[in-house]
Amino acid sequence: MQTRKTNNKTWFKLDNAAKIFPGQNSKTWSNMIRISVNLKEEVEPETLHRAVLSCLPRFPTLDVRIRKGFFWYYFEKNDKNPPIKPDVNNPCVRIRFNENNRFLFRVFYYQNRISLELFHALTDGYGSAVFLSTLTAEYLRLKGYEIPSGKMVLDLNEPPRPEELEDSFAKYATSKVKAKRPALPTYHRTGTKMPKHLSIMTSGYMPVDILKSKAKEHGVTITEYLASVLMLVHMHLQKDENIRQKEVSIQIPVNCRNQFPSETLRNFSVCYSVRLDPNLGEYTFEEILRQVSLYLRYTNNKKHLQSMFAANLGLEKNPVMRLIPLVIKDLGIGISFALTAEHTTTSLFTNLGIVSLPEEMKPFVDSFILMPSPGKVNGGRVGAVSYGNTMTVTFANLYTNTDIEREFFRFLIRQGIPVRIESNKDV
Amino acid sequence: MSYCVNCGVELADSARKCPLCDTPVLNPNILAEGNVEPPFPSHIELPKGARTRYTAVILSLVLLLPNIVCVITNLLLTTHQLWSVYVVATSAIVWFLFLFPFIMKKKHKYWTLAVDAVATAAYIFVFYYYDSPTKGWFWTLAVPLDVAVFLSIAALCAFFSEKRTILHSLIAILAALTTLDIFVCLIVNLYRKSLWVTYVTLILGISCLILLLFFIVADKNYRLRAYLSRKFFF
Repeated sequence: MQTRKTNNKTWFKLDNAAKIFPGQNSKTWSNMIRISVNLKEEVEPETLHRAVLSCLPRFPTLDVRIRKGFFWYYFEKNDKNPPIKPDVNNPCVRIRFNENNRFLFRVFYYQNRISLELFHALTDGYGSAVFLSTLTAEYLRLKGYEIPSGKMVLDLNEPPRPEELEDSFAKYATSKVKAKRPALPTYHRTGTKMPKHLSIMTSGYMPVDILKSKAKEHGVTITEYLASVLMLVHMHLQKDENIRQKEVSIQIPVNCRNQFPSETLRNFSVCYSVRLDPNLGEYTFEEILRQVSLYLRYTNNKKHLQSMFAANLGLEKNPVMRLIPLVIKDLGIGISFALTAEHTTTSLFTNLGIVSLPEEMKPFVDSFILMPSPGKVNGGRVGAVSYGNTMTVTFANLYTNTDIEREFFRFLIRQGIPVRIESNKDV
Repeated sequence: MSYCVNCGVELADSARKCPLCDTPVLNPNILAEGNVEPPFPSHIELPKGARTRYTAVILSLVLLLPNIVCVITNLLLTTHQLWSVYVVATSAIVWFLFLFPFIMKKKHKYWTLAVDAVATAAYIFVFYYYDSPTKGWFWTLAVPLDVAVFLSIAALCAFFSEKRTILHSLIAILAALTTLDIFVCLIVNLYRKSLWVTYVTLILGISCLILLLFFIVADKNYRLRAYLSRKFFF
């Protein structure tokens, strides 16, 4: 990260992926990530606030406000303190840059749960999980427990390392070939929209061991298995709904830190789109599993990722693009987002993977929850995360009908995977 | 702990119905335990609206400044001609059309439209009063045209207050255009005291009418609609 100091104000550029998110912001929608941790005892707000304040200096990429330059947005050190609030029924409400003491993340508490909502421009799922894990560890320390650093818990006594602050997209975009993005319209399960700023959040808790053995039976990973279930659900829903069948496309973000030796805490994930065309014939679950797993294994490699980075970075480095004023850039991003983006994907399935914490924290932590922001068109967007033996699959739905969630969890039940459901609906 | 008899999923102890299928939970043991805290709070926090009113007030003040300068310059330096009236009138119409709706505390679209109609008429009146060599056209031509245009917009606003299909929206817009076309023709003819329909009115009216009839038939006829969506699928 290139940090600069002018008039004692530290400022730095947004990373390559983050540049798009402020332009997508609207009066009712922002690209957010919500990650929560369920503890085994009730959360004390005052201790939590102290923990947030002591964690922030270790995360300079979160301790920021966003400002408008003439050509680009930039982050600037925020001199205020972030507030913490009791949790609300409507998660992932749009972010506005002058609210919340100008912080781009919100911290909530409710009973045993600490929740964190971040604007995607700050970081991706991995970065948010590291922040929440470190925050939880510090919270437990302030409560008097001995919690060491390690795994996803950062040491608050050491200064932020430069590797954590780098824009890894720029570092690894070495490919000369730029990957093309598919831009065909796809099927969407729509319905009556929820009122503005409201969405339905449905979390399903399931045991990792049973899920893993079920996925292993088919020779696939948990991500491939669950993404295939989501694909199957959409295929079936469309079959009942449309005469003319459209492609079903599931967007699957991948954490690029698994492929590159990056330690960045900023955005470093890109999305693959697995597409299936029902016009080719009816797919069985086995066939969908095969298609999804083969596609991901075939494409998810260093070379392909680098070509995707190069395509994204090419836009940012284009001299004409750079010279266009920010107002026009924002307008262009907004129009492009309204016309393409979610219109080219049916749904999103993001699996953060395993949250690993020090052994000493395990008696205090029950489970994690990850939720992407509800879509603008897509019905059920799914976030998954596992901790210990609990996997949590969470749907963010902007429509009143919950067919996707229902069919998804019913399918898992039929496969012999027990699911416990929690929802913000009708509480 | 309860399970949904329909979905088979385990539910939160506080759940009175399954969040997935809305099947009621009837577990006497759970009900006997009394009120259990739900997994999510019921409190909904809606974000504050945009600061449009504040911005509109600032822009109004910015708009006011050149007007004051123009009026003072006109009154002090070029007293033989009242040219600043046009500047003030143009600023006023811009303010009424683009800033006034954001300054209103309680927004009411029909009142806003009525104010816009009056403001537009007043703007035309300024030119009519100060600049027009012919008299009489304001009351017989400008005002009726102004009323007709704003009534058409009000009718469309009323129609679009609910969500409409693309086909219904097209029908409504074409119907409004056709009606407006007829009224404009009538008003102009009354003013000119002639019965001749102009070519522009005829071309526009007939085109709109043909399209209107076509869309109405397409809306009523399922097979035609299916054929069109098949042919023009993109």
